Amino acid sequence: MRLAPYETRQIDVASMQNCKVIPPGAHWASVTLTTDRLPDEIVAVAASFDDSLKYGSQTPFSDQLASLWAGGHWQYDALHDSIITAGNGGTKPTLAAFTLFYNQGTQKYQLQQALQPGEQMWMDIGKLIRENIPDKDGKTLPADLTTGSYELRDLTNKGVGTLFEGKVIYDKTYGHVVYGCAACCGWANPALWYNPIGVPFQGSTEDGVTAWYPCESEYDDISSNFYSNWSSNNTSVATVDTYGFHTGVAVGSTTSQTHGYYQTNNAHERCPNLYCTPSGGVNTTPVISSISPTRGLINATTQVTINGKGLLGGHINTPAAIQVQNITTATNTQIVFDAVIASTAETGNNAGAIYVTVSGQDSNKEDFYVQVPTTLNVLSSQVISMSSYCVNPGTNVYGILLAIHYQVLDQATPATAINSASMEPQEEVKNLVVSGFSNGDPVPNWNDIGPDAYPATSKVTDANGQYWDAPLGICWPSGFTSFSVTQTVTVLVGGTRYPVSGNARTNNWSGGPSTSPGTGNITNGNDVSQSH
Amino acid sequence: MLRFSTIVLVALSIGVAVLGQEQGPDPYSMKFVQNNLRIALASGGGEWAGAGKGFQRLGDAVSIALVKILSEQDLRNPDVVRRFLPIIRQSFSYPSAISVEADKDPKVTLFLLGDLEQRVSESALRQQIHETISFIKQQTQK
Repeated sequence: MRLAPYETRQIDVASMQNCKVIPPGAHWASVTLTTDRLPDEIVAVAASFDDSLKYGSQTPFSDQLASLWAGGHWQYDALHDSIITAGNGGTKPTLAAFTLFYNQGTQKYQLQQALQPGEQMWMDIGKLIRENIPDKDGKTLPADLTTGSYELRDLTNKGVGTLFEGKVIYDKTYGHVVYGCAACCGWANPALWYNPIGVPFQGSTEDGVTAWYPCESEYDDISSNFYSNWSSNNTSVATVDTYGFHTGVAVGSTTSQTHGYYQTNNAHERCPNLYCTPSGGVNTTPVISSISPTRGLINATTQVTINGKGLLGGHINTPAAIQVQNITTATNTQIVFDAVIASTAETGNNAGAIYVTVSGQDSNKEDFYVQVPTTLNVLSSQVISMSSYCVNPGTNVYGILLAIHYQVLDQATPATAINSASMEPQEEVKNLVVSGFSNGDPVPNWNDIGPDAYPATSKVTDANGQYWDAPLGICWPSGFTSFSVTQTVTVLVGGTRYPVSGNARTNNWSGGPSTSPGTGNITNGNDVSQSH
Repeated sequence: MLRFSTIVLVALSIGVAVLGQEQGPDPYSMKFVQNNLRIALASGGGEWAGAGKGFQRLGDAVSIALVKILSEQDLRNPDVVRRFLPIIRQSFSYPSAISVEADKDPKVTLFLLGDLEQRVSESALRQQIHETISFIKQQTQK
């Protein structure tokens, strides 16, 4: 139909029913009025009166689309019923959620329905209660429920919603009808997710737009409203695609921005859309993909290899007690250097201790664990020849000699091997008692465990942090009933003894009897027990 | 007597020069040598094998410690000499393990053994001393 300026035109729905344009039995309908004019140039009002024109109702049409409608009071009892509608006013399908709140908002009843463009969902509260219709979770409304509140939510679209809403409460006795007055909700303060955003060199990071949603006191992602509008100010540093994915092209800095509309939270003005252009910094950063090893011995030097991208010309950052020396490789993909770990270094995990700075841009930060020699693990033990390693290697020697292979472990839980050739195991051996007779302390002060005549012994550990203790045992010129002795072991690194308190290991050796030459046994009561 | 006193003086001067590099609770390893000599004497030649490698690292310093530990009377006692000869032998059994370079040179040891060889009357023990001297010369010849 065509309306002249200020013309009012009445559309008689009852006559449509009489002409069967609308089914005669229809009692309620949702009416959509479409115009090509600007908002509020056409004002529509639905009205219904009885024959006497004494009883009637009117309700204005709503032209507002929103993603959330928060509705107030609904009512259902013997005299009242409430009908709530929601429709998709957008151009794409959307998923609408309808929620009834009751018992002072402590409980809720939820329905969901996919709506095609122009399609509506229709909720007769009385029918939902009367017919015990279950919600999406199988929950039904209490039969004695009479009032509550509601909301309609567009689950597909945020930023600019596509749902319109309508509600009436009618009085069955007096024919009084009250129309709904749900309020729209919108967003405030849109901003980029990150500012600046860090983009790994030759890698990708997604950015988007978030905005404050006062109706639910939360930040919402409204990025989809800003798709296809992203741009970078320097594409030789970083590019950005339709969806806000930034790709690092070269290490450096630039800015990026996007633009779009979002629905404001001005309910008095029915949440109008507002245009905005959020922007922020973009930092393309060097990337560390791995460091090896990730652990190093305290008070010693560990060669560390950093692998990654965009590392060329980079400065290696470490804690003050871990100095960088002797950089032997420095390429775009690899840096090799000596990490000189001081005795004052923080032991254990140094979170984010190592990173690379290129052109003012910091890479990701990697942890580095400073190891302290703390315990010794027995790898193997074996009986060795007494004739070769006793001071008086005559044929009538009693006792037993062992060679024990140890691994130095750190303080971690579980303990981890220290792969370093910079450790000097030392021992004290005290309180040798043979057949009940005290012989004093064979090794009263800290003394190197190696090297000696036994092959494979050495002053320091091998590159795996392992060493041999041999010969270990007793060579005695006569038979004995028993022996015992206490061996404590610590580890020197760079002249400092570890662990700082206590010992790396205490072996309480014991054995006997040895009643004939070349026989004997020995145990530490723990992980070594041998005899011959 | 005069001859032995000369050895002691030489030993002391060398010991200070060489072992002075090691600052510790027992810079001359006297306690270590004394303890293990005591074990050998008490048991008739017994040892905790871990001590043997200690001697191997000391080399000539073992004799310095013996001179400082033992009295003149001890050095005349065949039983005592018999017990420390294997220890001296052990101290040069693995010359590459000797920690201090100067202690790889058996100067003090050969002085001590030469003096003992002259002084002991027991022929079997003198033979033992002679064999020990030969062993050490063989181990340290360049």
